[in-house]
Amino acid sequence: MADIPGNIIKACIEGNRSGQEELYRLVAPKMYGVCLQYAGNADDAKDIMQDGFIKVFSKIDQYTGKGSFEGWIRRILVNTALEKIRSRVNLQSIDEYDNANVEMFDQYVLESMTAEEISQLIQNLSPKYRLVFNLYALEGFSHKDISEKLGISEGTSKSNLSRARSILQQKVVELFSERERKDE
Amino acid sequence: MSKNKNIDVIFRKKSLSFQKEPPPEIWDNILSGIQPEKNRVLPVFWRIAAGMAIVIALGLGYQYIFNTENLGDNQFSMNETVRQNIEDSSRSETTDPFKENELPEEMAENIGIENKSSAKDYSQKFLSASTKRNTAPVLASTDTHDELSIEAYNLKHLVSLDDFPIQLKPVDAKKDSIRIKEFIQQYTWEDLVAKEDFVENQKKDFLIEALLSPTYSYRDIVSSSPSLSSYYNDFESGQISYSGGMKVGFIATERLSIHTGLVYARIGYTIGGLKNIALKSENAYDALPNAVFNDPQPYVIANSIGKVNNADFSSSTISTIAQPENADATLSYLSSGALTSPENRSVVSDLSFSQIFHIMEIPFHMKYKIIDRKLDFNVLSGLSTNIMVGNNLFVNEGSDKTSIGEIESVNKINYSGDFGFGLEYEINKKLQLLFEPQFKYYLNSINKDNLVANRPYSMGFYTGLSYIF
Repeated sequence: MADIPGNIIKACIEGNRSGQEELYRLVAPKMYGVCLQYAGNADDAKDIMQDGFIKVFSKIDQYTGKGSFEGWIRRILVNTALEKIRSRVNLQSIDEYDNANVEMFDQYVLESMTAEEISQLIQNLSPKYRLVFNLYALEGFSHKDISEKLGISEGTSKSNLSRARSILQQKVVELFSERERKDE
Repeated sequence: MSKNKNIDVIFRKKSLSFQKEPPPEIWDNILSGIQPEKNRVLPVFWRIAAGMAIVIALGLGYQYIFNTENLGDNQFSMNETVRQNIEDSSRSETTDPFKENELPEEMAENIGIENKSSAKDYSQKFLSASTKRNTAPVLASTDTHDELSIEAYNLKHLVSLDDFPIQLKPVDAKKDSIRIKEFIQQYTWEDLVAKEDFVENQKKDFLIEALLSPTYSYRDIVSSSPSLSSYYNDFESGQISYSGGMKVGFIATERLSIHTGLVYARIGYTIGGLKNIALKSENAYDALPNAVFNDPQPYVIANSIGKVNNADFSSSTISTIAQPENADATLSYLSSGALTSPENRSVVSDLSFSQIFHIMEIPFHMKYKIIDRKLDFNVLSGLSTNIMVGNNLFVNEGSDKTSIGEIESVNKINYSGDFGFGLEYEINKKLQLLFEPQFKYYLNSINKDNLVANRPYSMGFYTGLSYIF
């Protein structure tokens, strides 16, 4: 992750409008991708992006220089997404699901997929699976951290992660099969 | 690594590279939701430094102008008075206040001579000089006795010094009947002011100095974010080192000298409170993208200057350095929280960094002598061009000190404002012992592209020798 030039961050801290716009142009595509992956749809992603960046610019003087600035922005957007989604989605329910039925595939199948295809698969997950999968696999949080962030038990977190993986694998298989049929 | 972990890693890698251009209306909405643009405020330390510079400049300027004006007044007074005396003496032979080879009593009092014999000495010097000079043109003027006294006072200053530019030889007053008034007629204004020139010329010597000092250096942080300043101030601290070098000086006047030279200085600061972190769980490794191994990145130790330009994460075992409670700062290009989980890491040892800058300073200092005795007291002020010739970051772990690279994005040429005091003890006419406490503050930020402007400063207690030639 390339870091943001210090002069741009400094300009943002000083409330300089052109600095804020420059920062936004630099990171917006990547951060909008993050919003989409958490929101699952464009409308919510826009709201998260908008609210998140307002927080970024209003709280930028609280950035202590610890870690990369881009990572700091990403964390704010992720937290904004969690606040928004958590308040309206039931994350507690656990579906019984038999992972044994999931058809396995070779790793190269995944490698051959584009970033957009992968992202689309994640976006299509239901919120409770999507959030847990994102926090665990993308952000690297432990189940304990996830349980605290989402207000669910560690067991629910593990179960939802497992279910998310299964669905994603299934979707990958379906996508790959469809692609093969088209090729034939 | 399990199948699931593999899938997670691939998903992670692909997801992190996913980007999509947001709809343009988002930026408009953000603009309407954030506060209006702030006015740029000059940082407080910079304002203080600028204020100090102005005060020093005004002080020196005033001193210079004041002295120049005084000199001008004296010159004018003497010139006019000489003319007046000449006119007076030429038209009032019968009422001549001067007696042969003597200065009048009133005049002697004014010039601080206790008795007439002393006054005679002065007049004799004048007379002897007059015998060797060409006759000056006589200028018409009027006179009062008071003005003559002022003139006499000025003459005293010119003539009472032993090193008068003209070869003066005391003569027998009886053999030389030229009176003071004739001396004045024959002695030109140019002759009189020549003494001033001579004094000036005589003082225009050069000197060479050798100086050495223990130096305390640290930095000032200029940032619009108070939290940033307090964050860095919490774990960074000053450092004691040394500096030394040679200077040459030009003695412009009796009190003012100009100095330049070449001085080597080690400055820097210490970054403390660090931990050596090792990843210990497989989960942590799994969460790291391949980029960590394939694309070595600089260490990102948060500090007030910038990143460290050296790193090698290509090793299969990542053991690195992090700030406590913030391990992700070390690998902050990862947005991953893998390193923030205590179960994924272990602290191997405590350590600190020493950031050292090797600086060659080219000072341009003006030194003004306030007390001119055997033990002189000076004030010193000026600017230095500071060329960074080296930059090392050392890791201090126990008694071990290892260089791990250098800070990137620093300015190689920086400028500082210097201020100090000086004591000079005259060992003999040519040699002086120096003691000069000096304070140096960088006028520009030493770092580029960072959130805070890092302005080093240093305090040194220079001791050395000065040789006049």
